[in-house]
Amino acid sequence: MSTAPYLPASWGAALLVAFGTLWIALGIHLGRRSKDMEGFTVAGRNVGLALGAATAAATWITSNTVMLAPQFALQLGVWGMLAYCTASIGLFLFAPISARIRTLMPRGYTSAEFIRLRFGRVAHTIFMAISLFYGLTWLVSMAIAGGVLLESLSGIPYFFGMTAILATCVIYTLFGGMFAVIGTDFVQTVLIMFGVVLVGVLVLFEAPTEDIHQTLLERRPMLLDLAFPAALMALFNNLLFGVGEIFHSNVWWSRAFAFREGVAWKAYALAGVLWLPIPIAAGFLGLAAPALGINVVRPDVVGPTVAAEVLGQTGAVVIFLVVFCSLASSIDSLLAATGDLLTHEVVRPLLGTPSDRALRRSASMVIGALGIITWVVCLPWIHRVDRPWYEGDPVGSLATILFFAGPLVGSAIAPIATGLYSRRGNQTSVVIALLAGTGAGLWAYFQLGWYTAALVSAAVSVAVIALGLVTTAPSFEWSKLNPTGRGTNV
Amino acid sequence: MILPAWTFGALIWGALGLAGLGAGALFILFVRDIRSGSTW
Repeated sequence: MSTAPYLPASWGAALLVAFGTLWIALGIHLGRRSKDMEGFTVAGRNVGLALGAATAAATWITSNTVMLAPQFALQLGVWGMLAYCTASIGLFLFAPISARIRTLMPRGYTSAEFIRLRFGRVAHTIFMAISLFYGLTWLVSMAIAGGVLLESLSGIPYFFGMTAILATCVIYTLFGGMFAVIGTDFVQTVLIMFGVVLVGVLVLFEAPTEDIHQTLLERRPMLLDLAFPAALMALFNNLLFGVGEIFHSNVWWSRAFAFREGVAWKAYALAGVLWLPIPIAAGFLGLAAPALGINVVRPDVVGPTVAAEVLGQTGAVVIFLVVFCSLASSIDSLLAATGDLLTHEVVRPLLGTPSDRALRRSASMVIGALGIITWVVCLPWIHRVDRPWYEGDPVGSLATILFFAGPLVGSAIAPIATGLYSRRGNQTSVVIALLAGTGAGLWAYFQLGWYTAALVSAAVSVAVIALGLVTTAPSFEWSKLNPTGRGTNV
Repeated sequence: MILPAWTFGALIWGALGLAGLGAGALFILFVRDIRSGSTW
C-alpha cells in the first residue's frame, strides 16, 4: 500500500481556502455581538441548549478522536475503542459540576479564578502552571497535527497546512471571541457527525461487520479479546485523563460561565451523548482494515487510509473535512480559553483596574500573541518534521503527546471536585495534592507506561485531598466565590 | 473471552445510529431554539 496523499493538493487547498473563508466570515459576523468583555469572553452568558451542547461536543471531538480512535482499535482492539469512549464520562460528570459552577460563580470567568478564590495564591500559581502547560501543549499538538494530517491527506506541505489552519482560527477567534467560537463549533459539529456516519455506513457496505469479525477471529483474535490487559489499563487511564482534562481546563469552565442559567447541566449531558459513539463510529475503521485487505503502513492514519481505499476521493474529501472541522473546533476553543486565562489572571492584575475597552483590546492581543507563539513552536525547523512524533512509541504517534499531560491534569480532579462541594480542605492539602499527584504520575509515565500516568496521579491526589478533608473544619464561605455580589450564589 | 459477532455488529451499528440520531437531534434543537428566540 502506498503512503501517497489521498487527495490532490489542489483539492485540499481549495477545501482549505473555501472552509477557512467560511469560518472566518461566520466568526466575524457572529462576533459583531461581542460589544464588551462579557460578550467577548463568555458570549453574554446567555448561550442556549443547541449551541451549548454542540460547542462542548465539538471541542471534545479533536483530530485525536477521529485519528487516534482507529489507531487504538487497530492496536488495542475492541477495548481500544471502548477505552476512548470513556472520555465522554468526563462530559457527563461535568454536567452537574457546570451547573454548580454557574450557581457559585455567576459572574466568574476562569477555572483559575475559582482556585484563587477558593484555595489562595500558591495553589493558584501551581494550577495556572498546570493549566497553561496543558492548554499550550494541546494547542501546539493540534496545530502540528493539522499540518501533518493535511499533508498526509492531501499533500499540502506541512508549513502551509499548519499555518493556514492556525491563522484561520486565530483570525475569527481574535475578532469574534466566544460568539465566533460557539457559532462555528455548531456548524463543525454537524459536519463532523454526518461525515463520520456517512463514511462508516459506506465502509460497512463494503465490509459487513460479520466479515470484519471473521477476519479478526482468523488473523488477530486478540483484538476481539475482552480480557486484553493493556487495553483494560488504557480504559481506566483514559477515563481519568478525560475527567482530569475537563474538570480543570478553562475550555470547559468558560463554557459553563457562557451558558444561560439552567442550560449548562443539559448541554454537557447532551454533549456526552453526542460524543460517546464517535470513537466507535470512527474507530472501527481500524478494525476493518484487515477484512478489506489493506496493509497498514502508518497506524496513525489508518482511518483516512481505509476511507480513501474504500470510497476513493469522495471518502478522502469527507475525511479531510471531518479532520479540518475537528481541528478548528478545538484550536479556536483553546485559543479563546487560554487567552481568557491569561487576560483575566495575568494581564488584568498587571493593568490595575482597566476599562472594559482596554481589557477587550488586551484579550484580542493575547489571542494574537498565543497564535504567533504556537506558530513559531510548530515551525518545521523548530518542530522536527523530519523525525515526526508518530515514530517509536508502543501505541505511537498522537498518544505520546496526548498522554504526557495526563499526570498533570489527573492531579487536579480531586481539588476541583471537593472544592466545589465541600467547605472543608485548605490550600496546603491542594498544593501537596497537585505537586505529589503530578510527580507520582510523571514517575509512572516513564517507569510503568503512559497508560498508567493519569491513574497514579489521580490516586495520589485523591489520597492527599481525602486526608485534608478529614483534618480541616468546614469553614469556607461560598459567598467568597462571588466577590461582586451580583447574580445568584448559595 | 472473544466478543461474539452479533455483539460486535450491534456495537458498531449502534454507535453509527446514535451518532446519526445525535446530529439530527442537534439540528432539531437548533431550529427549536431559533423559533423560541433562545439561541443566545
